[in-house]
Amino acid sequence: MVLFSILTAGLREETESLIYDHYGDSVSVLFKKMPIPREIKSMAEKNARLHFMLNQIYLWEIFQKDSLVGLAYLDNVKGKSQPITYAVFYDLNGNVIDSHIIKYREPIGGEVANRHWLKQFLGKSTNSDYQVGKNIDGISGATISVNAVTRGIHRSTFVIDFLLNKHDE
Amino acid sequence: MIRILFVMVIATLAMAQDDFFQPGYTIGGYGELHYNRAQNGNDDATITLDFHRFIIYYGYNWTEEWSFKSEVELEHNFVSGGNGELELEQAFVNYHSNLFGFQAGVILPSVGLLNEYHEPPLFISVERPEYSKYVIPTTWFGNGFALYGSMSGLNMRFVLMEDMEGEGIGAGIRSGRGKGYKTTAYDWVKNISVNYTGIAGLRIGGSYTMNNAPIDNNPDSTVSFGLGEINLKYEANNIYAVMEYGNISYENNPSGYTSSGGYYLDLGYNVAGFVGLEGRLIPWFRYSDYNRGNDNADKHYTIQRFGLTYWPISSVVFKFDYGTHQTESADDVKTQINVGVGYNF
Repeated sequence: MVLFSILTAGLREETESLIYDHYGDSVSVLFKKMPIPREIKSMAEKNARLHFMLNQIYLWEIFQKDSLVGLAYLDNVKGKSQPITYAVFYDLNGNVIDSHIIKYREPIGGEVANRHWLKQFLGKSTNSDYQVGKNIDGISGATISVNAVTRGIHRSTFVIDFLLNKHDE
Repeated sequence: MIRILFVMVIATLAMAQDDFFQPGYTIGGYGELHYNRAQNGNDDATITLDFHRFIIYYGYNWTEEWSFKSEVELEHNFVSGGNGELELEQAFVNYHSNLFGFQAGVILPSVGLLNEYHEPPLFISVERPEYSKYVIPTTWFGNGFALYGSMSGLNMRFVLMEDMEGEGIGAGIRSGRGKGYKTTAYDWVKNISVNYTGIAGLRIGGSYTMNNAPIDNNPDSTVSFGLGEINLKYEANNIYAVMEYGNISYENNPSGYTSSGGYYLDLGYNVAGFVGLEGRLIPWFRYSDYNRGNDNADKHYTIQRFGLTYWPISSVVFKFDYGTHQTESADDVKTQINVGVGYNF
């Protein structure tokens, strides 16, 4: 149990460290583990052409003083043989403002963690085009990981869009 | 205070339940069907239809760090009387952490762009470039160990592998591959490579490989070789560009050669957007020049090739190419028309 706690706490700490790097130390964060909203699950999977690996996602609400300024989303996609854990930061319009590979577990294909490659997702939202080779550059030798992360980020935009709309209601 | 501690414990337990790794197996594979028409001058053409490669990948993950990976390949759809091949191309135990890893078993040295990554959707021509056959003996696999690491887009790998078979070395090193079959380890093949992938779409790298290869398993009689190569691939902004250059130097080559080598260059552009197609559609051109033994005109080849390659999705590819293959000493030019379908999963 101690080992598991250290591993998983490591993923959380890594993500929160990236949140503070992006927003600065003055923000506060509220961590939530939540089931994937059933209202959006199948629609997100269909549009992104990728099933969720687990039944829950991890979410951080990011506050500047008492105002919500953004959301951070952590989930997994399946690489060639192991999960790729990734995080996407969103503004309040549901646009991607940053993304990171939190943990890559394979000996090949790790180039998807490259900051230059991930920058291609900046500004993307539910209606953006996510075609690898057209809007998203491929990476030689990392085809499966590129497709998985691209679809995973696309899939996350629907969940975030749903949560933001719900938040506004 | 007690309440805060209680919440922290619950939160920790909640995260602990979601350690994302799960032990289990993975199955994958790739394959390719080829139509090949070749004609020498005005001679009758030879036309073949060949399911060239069928590969099954099987892996098992015990933990996040420890796994097993393997690939079995059937070439030309059948094995009989020296035709076709059944090969165990990869079978290794892998330790992998964030910064470094270790492999032991049947492994691939890191030499050239295609030796490790040769699934059909990853190269543009129907057949692999001849450079990747006669300069880099792709697919080169054997028994050995590998240590690798990466940081900030810089990837390094060091491989110690079975000796090559000195008696097979001649016009290149391809026929010296032991393929893991009762091989020797007197001198070991040493392969060190480095590549950089820190710029989106770009991979640039190089490697050096050396061995004193025993002749007929005799460590006192060897063929020495050193293979140096550089490679570059750029695939972004609709541009497709590949360049590889390699040179092998020999001592005591049974055929008397002291060097062999060459290069190829691929240039293409994705026009799928212009014609309203999903996926990628790339017209391309290749120029290649290589020799398999010093400046021997019988072993010096120049290749020009044009092609059209279409990926409806990134894991399925349809290929067409036409090219000429000129041997320096020959009067006639060989023309080749190839059509292929490939996939990986």
